[in-house]
This record gives sequence, C-alpha cells and structure tokens, in this order.
Amino acid sequence: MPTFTSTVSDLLAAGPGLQISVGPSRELINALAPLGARFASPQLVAAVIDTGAHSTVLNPDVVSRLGIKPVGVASIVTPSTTAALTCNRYHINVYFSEDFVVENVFAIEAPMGGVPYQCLIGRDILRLATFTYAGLQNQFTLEF
Amino acid sequence: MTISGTITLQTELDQFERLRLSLLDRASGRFALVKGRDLVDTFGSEAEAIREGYRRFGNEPFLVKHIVEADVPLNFTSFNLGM
Repeated sequence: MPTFTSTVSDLLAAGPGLQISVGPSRELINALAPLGARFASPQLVAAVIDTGAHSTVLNPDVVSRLGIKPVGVASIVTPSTTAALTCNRYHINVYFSEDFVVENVFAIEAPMGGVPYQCLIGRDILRLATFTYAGLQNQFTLEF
Repeated sequence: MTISGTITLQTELDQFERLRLSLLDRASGRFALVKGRDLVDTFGSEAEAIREGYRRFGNEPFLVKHIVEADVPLNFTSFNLGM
C-alpha cells in the first residue's frame, strides 16, 4: 500500500501540507482521448489534509488552469455562513505520486481563505486511507 | 446563495427543480443527467451518469444530480475556506 510520510519543522504552524497534482478525471480522459481531444496536463498544487472538509476542494484558479467544466453542484455549510452555499462540482484525478492516483474524485470549487494552499484534501479521500498526525515528531503519514 | 453569484449550471438546476417531484415518483434514489433544459436520462449510479455525460457532451458543463426529496448540505468545519 502506498504510504506518504512528511516531516516538517513546525507541524503546528504549517499543518499537514503536501504537494500533489490534480488533473481531469479518468472518466473524462477515457471518453475524449479516443476522439483526439487534448487536455491540460495535471497541475501541481499545494494541498493540505483537512479533516474539517467533507470533500476535496479546489481553488477557482486551479479549475481554470485545468480547463474542466462542472458536472454538478453541491450545497455546503461552513462556520462563517448562515445559509447553505452552492458550489460548482468537478470530476478530477488526484495524483499523490507518479505511480499512485485517486481517480474520479468529486471536488468542489471554492476560494481559499488566505492560506497558502490551492487544494483541500477532504474526508472523501481520507475515507480511503489512514491518516496519522504525529505532533510530537512534527510528522504526518497518509497510508492508502 | 452561491459562491460567485453565478452558477454555470443554473439552467440545469432550475430544470431539475421543475422535474424533481415527477422524478421522485418514478426514479427516486437514481441520478439524473440534465443538459440545458433536457433531462437526458436517469442512472443507477453517479458514475454511470457521469460517464454518459462525458460520452454525449464531452468536456462541457452538465448536471448530474441525485434524485432525493431534499438536498442535505455538505459539512465544512474547516476555516481554510474563504467564505
């Protein structure tokens, strides 16, 4: 099983962040590649593992770079909203390394709030993995 | 309320809401594929609906929506979001 371990100087301040790539979903590639369609290459993004996020989230700028179109909407509630918000929903692949990808993920599009990330890895992906936060060692591990 | 004030799939969402009650009668729990004002079909899984959407429309916006009585919002307790 693929395991991703990262040690940072101050995990408390930085959070469990990692570099990943996101790209069009396997379903989209399978549907359009035989027709000769061209896609944006997977984009490198700064992501953070966020147990407070129901789903994977992409910053609008990343969605724009990927050139993908929405396949649905999602209503979300956040700590700072009093009514549900409606967000666009996209179908993507999430690449943790060259040889490990989580395919056909439904990601919502939403702006980040002044944090240095373009992607939140939410509980939709965490449900496939074991996430270990070793605060004493300033280390975290994601094991699929 | 929307994030940006404009949702790409507003036409499809409006059409789905017009059809929701009749869809609940005949296809409750299935997934609707809607493009523009057209209900393409319903599917037993979200993956099937997405696959058919890409097959028919390619990389164009379309709506896949679970046919349920009421939508339950997804819960984000994260403060990383800018809203």
